[in-house]
Amino acid sequence: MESFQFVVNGLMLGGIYAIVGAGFALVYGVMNVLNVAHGSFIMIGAYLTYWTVTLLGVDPFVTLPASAVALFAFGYLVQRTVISRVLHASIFMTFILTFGLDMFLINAGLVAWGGSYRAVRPSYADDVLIMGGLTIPYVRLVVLVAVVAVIALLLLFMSKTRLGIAIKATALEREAAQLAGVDVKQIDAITFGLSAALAGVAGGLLAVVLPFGPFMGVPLTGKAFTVAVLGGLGSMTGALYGGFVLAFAEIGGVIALGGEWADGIAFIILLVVLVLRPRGLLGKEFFAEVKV
Amino acid sequence: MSATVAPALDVRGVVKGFGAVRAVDGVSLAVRSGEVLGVVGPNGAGKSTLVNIISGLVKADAGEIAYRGVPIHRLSPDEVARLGVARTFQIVKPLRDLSVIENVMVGALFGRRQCRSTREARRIAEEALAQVQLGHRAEAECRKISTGETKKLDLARALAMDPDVLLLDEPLAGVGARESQTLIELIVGLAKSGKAILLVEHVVRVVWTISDRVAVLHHGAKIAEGPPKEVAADDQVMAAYLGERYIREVLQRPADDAEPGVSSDGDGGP
Repeated sequence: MESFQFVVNGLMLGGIYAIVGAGFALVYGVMNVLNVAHGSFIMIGAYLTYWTVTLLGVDPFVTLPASAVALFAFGYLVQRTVISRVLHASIFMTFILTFGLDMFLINAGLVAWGGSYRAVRPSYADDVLIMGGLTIPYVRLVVLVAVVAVIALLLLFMSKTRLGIAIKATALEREAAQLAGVDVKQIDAITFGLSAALAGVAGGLLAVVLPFGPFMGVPLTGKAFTVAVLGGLGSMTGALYGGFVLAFAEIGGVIALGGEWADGIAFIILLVVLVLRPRGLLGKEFFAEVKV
Repeated sequence: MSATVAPALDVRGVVKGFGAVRAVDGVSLAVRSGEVLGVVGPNGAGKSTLVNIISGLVKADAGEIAYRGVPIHRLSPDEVARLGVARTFQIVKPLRDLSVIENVMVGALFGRRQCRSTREARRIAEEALAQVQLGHRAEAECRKISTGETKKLDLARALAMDPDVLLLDEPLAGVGARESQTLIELIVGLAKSGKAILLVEHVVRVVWTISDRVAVLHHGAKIAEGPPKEVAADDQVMAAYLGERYIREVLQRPADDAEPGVSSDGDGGP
């Protein structure tokens, strides 16, 4: 029973981390930007889901595609107007810029919605599925299904569509992609939009399982970074694996060490990976070089 | 009404300096559809810089470049590529995490063809790989193929773009003798099919055998241009560029025992 719960929770949280980390890794892989504001896109996604559910009374999972589209547009615009200006600057400039953007979004969230914690509760929030002595809350089951669907769609998109192939090509060899006719500036903006859309979906899913506020994104940016480093920075598929590794480590760590360790575990893992295996678990090469 | 047809590629007075060095110093060249223009010159003559400028990677300080009469020197590399100017690299940078055929598909999807479906792109990529005789390696991972195979891959990717103009930057460097022969026949065939080809190559004998015209660059400037025989007969030019021993031993031998792989004096590629 306990081990079953452990697996369900691990898969659910792992899937969310995977989605968060994949978006973070895509942006780094394509345009060499470590997006410190990634967590704030998650926060915006959580509020979008919250307000749509509260105002329109729809099921939270129905809001996900709409908030993905909204955050795609937002991310696309942010890249075109702001991020594109620092792509040729040193990585510190991208840090400063996205840190500023993060501050701005968090404070905009505080002004707009206040600092209090909120939760999204669908009508079936307390229902459980009883299956041969095992009880699983419906909500977690739906989150699990949604997570699997999003990851499957992302993988299909990246391997089967023109745009997905263009994004991969740009991440692997920007110049060669450009000389094959890929409009890399357009791909930068689309990638940033896609990353924000993934963050938005993750935010919507988190809002259903955890209470949240304007600061919810701060630890999640750290986790996105950990997940991306675990997978080999810049590798999207690596980040997908990394998400599950981090989630199971966190949940296992909490069981073994106690709840106060939950957020510390990510950073212990980050430290260990950076020291012992800086190329990440899969051992893939970094897609892009760090410009300092 | 008897306007002459604009050359496929028209380079006029292109200048590019890096610091105090003039890497390209007022070079003008024209390549017509159906011909191979060989560009030769010692290391540092400005050949690769010229190819970089035409493909849009490097912006020239002065001069103009036109593709079928349309100026392209202010366009970005992807815009130039989509119009129909494809290039290969001296040192190929394949997309390492993709398979050979996926690399070639990128050309079909985003080059002049702009294939809408990946299935169509795959079919074109298969054709291009067959043309360079790399079909048997289609599913191989790029990081696992040989140097010669990456050169063929690069050419296949350029062909999949369906270009009118092909800029080939040392397509034979690192390729074995037998494979070179295949590529030479392919290049000749591509020109016959109507493509304009600018060929930069260290293997001078090959350039002399397959080029319709040859341009010689030296210290960034063009010092001779014309049919291979005429340029070869220009003793001064050839001495300055190739060294007299090369002319004596290689160029004055009958052309039919040409062996690709023979490099010019002190000018051999890697």
